[in-house]
Amino acid sequence: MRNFAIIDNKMQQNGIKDTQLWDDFRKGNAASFEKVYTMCAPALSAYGMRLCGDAELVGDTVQDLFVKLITKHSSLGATDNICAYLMVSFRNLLCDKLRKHGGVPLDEAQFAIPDESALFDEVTEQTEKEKRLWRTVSSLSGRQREIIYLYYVKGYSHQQIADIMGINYQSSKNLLHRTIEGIRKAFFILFLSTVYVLIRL
Amino acid sequence: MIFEEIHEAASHLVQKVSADDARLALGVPGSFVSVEREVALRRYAAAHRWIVALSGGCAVFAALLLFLIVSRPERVVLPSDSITFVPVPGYLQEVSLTVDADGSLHIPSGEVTVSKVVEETIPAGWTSVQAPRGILAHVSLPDGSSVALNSNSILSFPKEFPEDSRNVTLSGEAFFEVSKDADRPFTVNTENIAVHVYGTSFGVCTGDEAEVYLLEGSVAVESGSLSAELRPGEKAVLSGGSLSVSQAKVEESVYWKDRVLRLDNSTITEVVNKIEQHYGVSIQIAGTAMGSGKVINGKLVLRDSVEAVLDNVCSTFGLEWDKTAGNYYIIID
Repeated sequence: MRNFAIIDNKMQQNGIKDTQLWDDFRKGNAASFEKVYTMCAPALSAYGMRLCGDAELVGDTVQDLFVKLITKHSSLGATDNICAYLMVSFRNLLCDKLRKHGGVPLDEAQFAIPDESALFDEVTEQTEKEKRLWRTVSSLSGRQREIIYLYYVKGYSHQQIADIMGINYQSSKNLLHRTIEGIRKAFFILFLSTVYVLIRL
Repeated sequence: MIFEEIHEAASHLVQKVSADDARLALGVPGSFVSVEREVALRRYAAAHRWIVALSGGCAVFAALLLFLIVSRPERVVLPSDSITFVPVPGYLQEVSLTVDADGSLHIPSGEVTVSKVVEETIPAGWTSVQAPRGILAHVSLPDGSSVALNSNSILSFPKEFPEDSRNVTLSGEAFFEVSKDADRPFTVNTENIAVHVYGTSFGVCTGDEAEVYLLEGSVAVESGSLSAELRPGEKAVLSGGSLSVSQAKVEESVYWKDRVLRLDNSTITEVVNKIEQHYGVSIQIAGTAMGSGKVINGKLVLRDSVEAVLDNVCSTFGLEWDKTAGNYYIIID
């Protein structure tokens, strides 16, 4: 299903390194603290920004998460993908903070994706197809966009996604399946209407 | 063939979104250094707690001995529930304290050290909480009201509120968010004024001039025979025996609650006085630096160490600072 071989390879290579690095982290190795921060803080920040868009709140949450991780390093569980593992606690922490600030709860939040104009600055035939796909992705619900992001952009497994989004394994599969079907249909209709317009001309 | 097209377009999009992720991450503040500092701060507080606990234990033991020797039980009120927070040098630390319905006090573990107050004379059945310089305390009272206690301030309240009133006393500055309860009016007593409250949020500052400012609801301010009612956005000032009410930027008056100082045409001397008050440090200004006559406006954030704040202030005034010893600093031209 997932045809993006680049991502899969990258993930597997990271898997081995992640296990070692994370074991060091759990043993309290000071150098590994900074390595994990450098590796995951940007990903967590970007994910947080897509979820709520408040840079200061996201920055605070990342900091709080790492302070907590470092002070409680010995009681952490094992993982072979650190960033995915951290996203679970990060999302919960951000959720709590948003609730405290009286903001929009995450479940109803719109998962932000870049503007069309920001993504496509040069106009080629290639980008026309991408734009079409982009429009269909833009019309999805927040949760659908989130799962697409986690699965395709971050390359996470269904189990990891289920943990992060707080749903069960089967729901994750179903949600992704429905989303992909939706995209295919919408894309196909768009395609047909383009063809139709061309024929009429 | 159409699905292959989708896949090709999709993998391009994935790369573009990844690039956008990097751009988004850059806009988020934070660094590993600040994480490290926060961790160090907590460890310091935890280590410090042991020392204080040990010396506290010794003090309790000594007090017990003394108590047994000069036994006059009916007059001795053991200030066992009256506390002061122990600040971490060089920081303005924010701490929280919860008071339970039975009068017992709770603080989140690992956040701050507490020691007992001995010099305060507290009425029997009352609890007193002191925020010394370097501490900003958020106190949650059992009736659901909350109090932000500015540094160098003391709040006292009965261990259990009676059924018909909620009286507290304050020395220093505090911001109250009082929960509504028509049957039990909330009253803040200070040395020279009393504030009667009916469910509202307002600040009280005592000193040479007592000041009350109101954000929401309504309060009545009383001082001897003088009295005034405040509406939101107004402040009452007791000065030289008279009580005056005026419109004020009350939101700016509570900036301190979030560890932010509001500077309004402030000279270096005024700024330094405030830093001294909040951080519990001593700052000397060398002769030539004082007369520059420059003033600054704006907000000064006190969430960093006193060193960082001094850096900030001195660069604005075009001055330099140096640490002379322990908690002593000097500002020079």
